[in-house]
Amino acid sequence: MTDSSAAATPTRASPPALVSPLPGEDFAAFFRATSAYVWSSLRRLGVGVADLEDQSHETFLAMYRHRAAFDAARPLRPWVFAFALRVAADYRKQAWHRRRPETLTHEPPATTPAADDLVAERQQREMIHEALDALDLDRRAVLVMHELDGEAIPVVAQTLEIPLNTAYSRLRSAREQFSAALKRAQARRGEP
Amino acid sequence: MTAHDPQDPHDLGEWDPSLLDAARALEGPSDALERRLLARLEGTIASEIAAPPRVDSVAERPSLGARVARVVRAHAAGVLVAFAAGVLTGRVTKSTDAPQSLTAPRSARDLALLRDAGASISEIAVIDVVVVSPADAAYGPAVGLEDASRGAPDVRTSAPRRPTARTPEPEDLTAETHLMDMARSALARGRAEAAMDAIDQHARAFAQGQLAEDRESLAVQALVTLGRREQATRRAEAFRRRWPSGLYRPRVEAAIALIR
Repeated sequence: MTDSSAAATPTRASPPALVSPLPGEDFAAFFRATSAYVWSSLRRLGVGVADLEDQSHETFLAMYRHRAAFDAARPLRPWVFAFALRVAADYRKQAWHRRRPETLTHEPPATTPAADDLVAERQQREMIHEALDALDLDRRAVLVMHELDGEAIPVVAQTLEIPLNTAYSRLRSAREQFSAALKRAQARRGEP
Repeated sequence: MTAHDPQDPHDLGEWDPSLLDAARALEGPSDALERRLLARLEGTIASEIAAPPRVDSVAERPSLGARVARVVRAHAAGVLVAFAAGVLTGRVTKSTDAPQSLTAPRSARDLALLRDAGASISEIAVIDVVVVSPADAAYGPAVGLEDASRGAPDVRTSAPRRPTARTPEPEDLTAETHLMDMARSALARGRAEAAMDAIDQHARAFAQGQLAEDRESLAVQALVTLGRREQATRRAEAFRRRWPSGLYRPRVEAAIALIR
């Protein structure tokens, strides 16, 4: 296990490029084009900061092993997300990671306004992840795919292989639960 | 204020999308970590190619019968139905005669890897036919070579569920998504005319499509950008009637507010 928090940088544009080398072609290029998306998806799906490197490795390895099954006629991002979701689901089943503290030991010193902004942004992001932790993975996946990746609900339903109404229903309850959890997290930190 | 109907599955209630703003940007690994991760990945892949996952001793390796029994247990209902149908029609086939449509696309090298891992051709056919579904192959991590050779996939819980009758059709949805991506991308670049072209194309091909709500919200935004106020207003009114508490209602209202 490695401390991945040391080198994480919130610098990539969102959403990821729709045009990427396909997994069955140049896998290294595919890796470079999608690594930020995989990394972020795993984090959004509840993988701890310190485990992101290992879980990213697992995700890419699984995609490599199944690259022949990729259908180039279909959108790439939901395919990648499905792998990240599977890896995150397996990760969450392991009890050990829950006992490990989330250590962000490399916070930049807040000595300038820009650094202050950076810290505030990071804290805000961590608060969102904390609120996402209140959701079960089914709802969390729908919320992440739709609200953060911008996938339409029918695409979400197709990717997760659930009926359309189930996807809508999960989105509705995920929004409610997330909003409530975020309020609680803000209250704990003394924010309005 | 919109009236909400909790019985309507598409009525999603109040929601403030800005709650997630701080998490929208992708947070990737640093360049150094990315290089390390790629090197690690290439190392793992190279070692797998050189020495595919293998069960060391015959004693540790589950027999073919045990492995078939495991997948049969997992698919007991389907197997029984298929067997019964076979008996009734007098066409019970060997596993190697399974229809190709049930197998995932697999390269010659993957088949070679399977053989190198000690699987016979009939085992490969059994593993392919029973474990890999088209849904697995197309959308998610299928249970494949490595899982079969490790011998521990719980297909009852780990394989993605097959699409139900109400799950969107993949082909149409792909085409719809492509057109909507074109429209969204054109709109983001300020090319509202091009966005309208894609929107009109979608409207012709998929008038009642699964992404109709997405299309109409984009249409309002594009028309506002083009300064076609009347058309934008009419389309927004139609949107409100059809999707009074739709997912994209806030976008429509935000666009219309610009021309009020």
